[in-house]
Amino acid sequence: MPRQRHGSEPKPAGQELVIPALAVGFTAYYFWTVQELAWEAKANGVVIGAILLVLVALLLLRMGLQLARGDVSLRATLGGDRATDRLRLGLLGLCAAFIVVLPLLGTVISLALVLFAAMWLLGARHWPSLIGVSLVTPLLVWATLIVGIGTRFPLGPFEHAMAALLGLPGLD
Amino acid sequence: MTFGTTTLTRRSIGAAALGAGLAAMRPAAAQSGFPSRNFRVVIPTGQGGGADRLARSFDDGWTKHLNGRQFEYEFFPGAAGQVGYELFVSRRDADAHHLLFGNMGPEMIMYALQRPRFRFPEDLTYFCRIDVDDSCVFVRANSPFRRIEDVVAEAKRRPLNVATSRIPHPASIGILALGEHQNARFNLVPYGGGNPTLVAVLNGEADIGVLPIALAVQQGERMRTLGVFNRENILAAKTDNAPPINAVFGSNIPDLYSSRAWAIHTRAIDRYPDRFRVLEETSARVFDDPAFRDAYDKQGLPIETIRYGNRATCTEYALGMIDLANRYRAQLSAQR
Amino acid sequence: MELDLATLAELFGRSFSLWWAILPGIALGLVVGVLPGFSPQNTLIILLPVTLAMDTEAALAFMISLYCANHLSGGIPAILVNIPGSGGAAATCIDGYQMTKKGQAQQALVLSFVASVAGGLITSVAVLALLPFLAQLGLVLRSVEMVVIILFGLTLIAVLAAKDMLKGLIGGMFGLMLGAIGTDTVYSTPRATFGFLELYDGLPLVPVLIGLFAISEALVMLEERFTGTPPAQSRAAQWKDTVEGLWMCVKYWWQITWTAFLGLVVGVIPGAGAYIASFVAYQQSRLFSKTPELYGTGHPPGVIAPESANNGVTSGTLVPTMAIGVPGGSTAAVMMIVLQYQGITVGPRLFQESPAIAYGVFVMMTVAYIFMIPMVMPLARYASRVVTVPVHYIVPLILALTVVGAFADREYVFDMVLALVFGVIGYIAVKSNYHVTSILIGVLLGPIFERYLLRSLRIGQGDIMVLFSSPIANVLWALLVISVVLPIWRERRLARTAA
Repeated sequence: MPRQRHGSEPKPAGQELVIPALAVGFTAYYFWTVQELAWEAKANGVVIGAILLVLVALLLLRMGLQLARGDVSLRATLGGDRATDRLRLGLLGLCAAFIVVLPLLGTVISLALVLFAAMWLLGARHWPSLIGVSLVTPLLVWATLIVGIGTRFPLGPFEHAMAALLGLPGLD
Repeated sequence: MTFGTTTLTRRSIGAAALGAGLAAMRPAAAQSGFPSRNFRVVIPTGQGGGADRLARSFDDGWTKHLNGRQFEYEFFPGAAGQVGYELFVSRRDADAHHLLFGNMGPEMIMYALQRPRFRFPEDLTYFCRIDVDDSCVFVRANSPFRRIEDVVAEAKRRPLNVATSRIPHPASIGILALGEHQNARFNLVPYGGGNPTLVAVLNGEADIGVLPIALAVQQGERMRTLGVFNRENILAAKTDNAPPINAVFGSNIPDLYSSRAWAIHTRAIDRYPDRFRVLEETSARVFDDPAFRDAYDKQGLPIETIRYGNRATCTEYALGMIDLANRYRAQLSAQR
Repeated sequence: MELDLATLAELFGRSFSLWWAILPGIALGLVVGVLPGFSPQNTLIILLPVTLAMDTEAALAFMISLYCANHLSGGIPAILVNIPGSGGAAATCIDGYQMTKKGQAQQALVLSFVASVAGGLITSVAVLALLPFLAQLGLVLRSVEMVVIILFGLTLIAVLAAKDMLKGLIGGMFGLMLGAIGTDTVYSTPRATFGFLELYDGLPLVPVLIGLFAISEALVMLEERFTGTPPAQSRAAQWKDTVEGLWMCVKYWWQITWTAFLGLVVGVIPGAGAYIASFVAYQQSRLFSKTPELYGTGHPPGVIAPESANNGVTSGTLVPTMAIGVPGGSTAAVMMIVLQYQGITVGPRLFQESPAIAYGVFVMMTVAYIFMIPMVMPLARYASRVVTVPVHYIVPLILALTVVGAFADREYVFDMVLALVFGVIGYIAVKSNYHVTSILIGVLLGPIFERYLLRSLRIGQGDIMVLFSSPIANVLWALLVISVVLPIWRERRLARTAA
C-alpha cells in the first residue's frame, strides 16, 4: 500500500475489515460446532481457521500501524456514489422479491415481472424493448428449460394453463 | 433420423409415447384412479450408484402394473443419506406418488448415529425389500491373502487398512466385530461409495475391502471374496466357496447385509390406505416378472441376491440395524 | 486392447454417420454450458428416458457430444461477462474477462474455442493410442498423490495474491474455511451448517459461483452507466478478430498441447474434477511463462491454459469408466447407467467383447470435437456482441437468469438466497480488493483437499510421513516446491538486474 504524504486526507480503509470480520466470525462459529467431534472430523478446519486468525491478526497490526501514522482512517466506503448504491440495493431487493413470489406466481410470470421492474429501475424507457425482453426471455426459459429439458422450476398459473392447453405431460 | 431431432429436444414426447403404450398394455390399477401421475423418487445416494441401478432395473416391471406411470429420480447423497431422508419426510407430499428408494442397512445406522429430524417407523415405512446383499471381505486377485484366516493372522501382527464405503455401514461393523473377536486390528478407511472402494482395493491403497457382495462379484476375476458376514453364503458358487466368517472363527457376529427397499411416508399409508395397497401388491408382483431378473442379470449383478421382503420384514430388519448401530456407537460416530 | 487401423477407420466412419445424434448433442451442450447451474450430468439424467430408448451407439454419441460441448461453452460467459458457466471455467475469467475489457472479446472467444477443441482433439486421439497405459495411471495415482496435485491448485491463491499477499491469503483461507462446511469425510457428521439441511453436502458450488462472480459483477457493471464513457469492448465484431485469435492459437500450440495433457491426467483420476485441472493448468502456465507479470491483465495463454486443460479432462474421465469400470465423474456415471441398461458391462473385458463401444467412445469424442469447429467459430463473432448490450438490459438479464440458474442445479429455493448472499460478499470483496477467485478456489478445492488428506492420514494410521511415502508423490512434492520457489527466485534476480 503506497504511503500517503503527511497532510493529505487519510485513505478510508474500514471496508477492508468487512471480509476479515466475516471470516473470523465464521471461524469462531465453526470452532464452536466441532468442539465435541473426533479429531479427524475437525483437524482440517481447525488448522485452516488457526492460520486465518493469525493472518487477520497481522492485517490488524498492519492497519494499526497505518492508522498511527495517519495514512488511513477507519471510515468505510465501497467507492460507489449514493445514486448507484441505491440502485444496487433496489436490484437486490427485486431479486429477493422474485424469490418470494416465485412459488406463488411460477417461473414465467415472476421472471417477466422482475425483468421489467429491474430494467425500469435502471432507466430503460424504450417500451418495445422493455416489453420484448421481459416477455421473450421468460418464454424462452419456459420453452427450453421447463418444457424442453424438464427442469423442475416452480410452476404457476401460466405453466399450468399452457400444460392444460397443449396437453404437455409431466408438467402437472 | 427424425428421432434425433424430435425426441432429443422433447423428453416429454418420448416419455408420453412410452407411457401411453405401456398403459394400453395393462391398466391393472386403473380402477382406483391411482396412480394419476408419474412417481417421484428420492434416492439418498449418488447417481450411477448401486441403488440407482437397482431401482431402474426394478421400475420397468413395476410400471406395467401402475397405469404405465414412470418413475423420476432425484439424488441426495449428502451426510450418509441423511439429506435424502430428511428431505423426503419433510418436503415431499405424503400422497403415495412420492417414494424413497434406499439402502436400509447403512441408512438406518446413519439414523441411529446422527439422530436426524424424523422418526422411524412413525414418519417413514419401508414396504418392499428388493435384495439381501451380504457384507463380505474381499481382496484383489493378486493379493497375498488367499483365505480369511490369512487376513486375520496378518491383522494380529499389524493394523490392516480396510477400504469401506462408509464407516456407518453394516460391512464396517462386521470387520470391527471380527477384529474384536479375534484381537486383530482393522483400520477402516471410508471412500464414500462402492466404486471408489473397489478402486482402493484394486490399486493396493488398502489391504482389503469390505462391501456388499454383489459389487465384489460384479468385478469378476479381478476380486476375490474371502468370507461373508452371514450364516450361509448364497453366492458360494460365484465366490469360490468363500465361507461364512462365523463358521471359520466360531464367532457370533449378527447377519450383516445391505437391503435396498422402497419406502413411503407413514402418513400416506394412513391417509390413502387403498393407494398403499396398490403399491404393496403390485411391487410384490414384479418379482415374478422374468424381465426384472434379466435386467438385473444384464448389469452383471448376481440374481441370487434378489429376495422380496414385505413391510413387516423390512421394519424388523431396520429396527435390528438401529440396535446394532447403538451397540457400536463409539467406533462409528464422530461424537466424543 | 489392441486396435488396428482398419477397425479405427470403420469406427470413424460409424461415428460420422451418427451426425444426427451428435449435432443436437453439441447444440444442447453449448446452451447448457453457457448457463451456470445447468450441469451436463443433470441434463443427461433428465434425458435418460430418451437415451435409454435410443440405440446404444447413438445414445453414447449424443451424451458425449453434449458433455464435450458443455465443457467448451462454459468459457463463453466467463470471457464476456466474468461469469463462469461451470466451475471448470472459473480460471478462464481471470484473463478472459480482462481481454474483453481491453476490447478483445472476440479474440478471447476464438482462443477459448480453439484451445478447447484442440485440447479435446489431442487428448481423445492420445487416449486411443495410450489407453492401456492411461488405464494404469488411474491405479497409480492414489490419495497421497492427489493431496499434492490439489496443493498445486491451492498455490494459485498465493499467486493471485501477489499484489497484497496478506489480503490475498485471507481471502483464500476464508474460502477454504467455507469449504469445510458440511459433513466430515470420515464419520459423515455435519459441521457449521447453521442447521440448514441444504448445507449438509457442503457449500453448493453453483450458487457460490453465481454469487461471487455473476451477481457481484452485475452490481459492479452499474458503474459504467454513470461514467459516461462507452466501454472499450463495445466496438463491432469483425472476422479479422477471429483470424487474429486463430493466429494466436498457432503461436501458442505448445501451450495448448501440454495443458491438454495435464487435463487428461487429472481427468483419469476418479473423483478429480475439471476445476482442479483448469486451476493447476493456469498456475503452471504462469510458472513456466517468460512474462508471468502479464497474467491477470488479459494475457492469451491465461485463457488457453484453463480451457485446453478443461477439455482434456473430458477424455480423461472416460478412461477409468471404460477401462476399469469405475466412473471418473458424475457425467461418466450417467453414461455407465445407459451402457449397463443395454447389457454392456464396462471394464477391461469390454475391450475384447465390444471394442466398437470401448474404443468407439473415444472416436465419437474425436468426431464430436471435429463437428464443433464449424459450429463454434461463427459463434465467436456473434456471441461477442453481447458486450455491446446496454447496461440497463444486460444487468437485469444477468441477475434474473443467474438467480434462476442457482435454483436449477439442486432445485432448492435456498440456493437462490445463498447466491444473493454470496453476491453481496463478492461485491464487498471486489470493492475492498480481496480476490473473489481466491475465495472460490478455497471453496472448490477445500473439501476435496480435506477428503484426500484425511484419507491419506487414515491410510498412514495417523503418521503424517505417509504424505512422503510414495516415489511419485515425492517427485510431485519436489515439483511443488520448485513451483513455489522459482517465481520468488526469478523476481529477486529481475530486481537485482534492474538495480
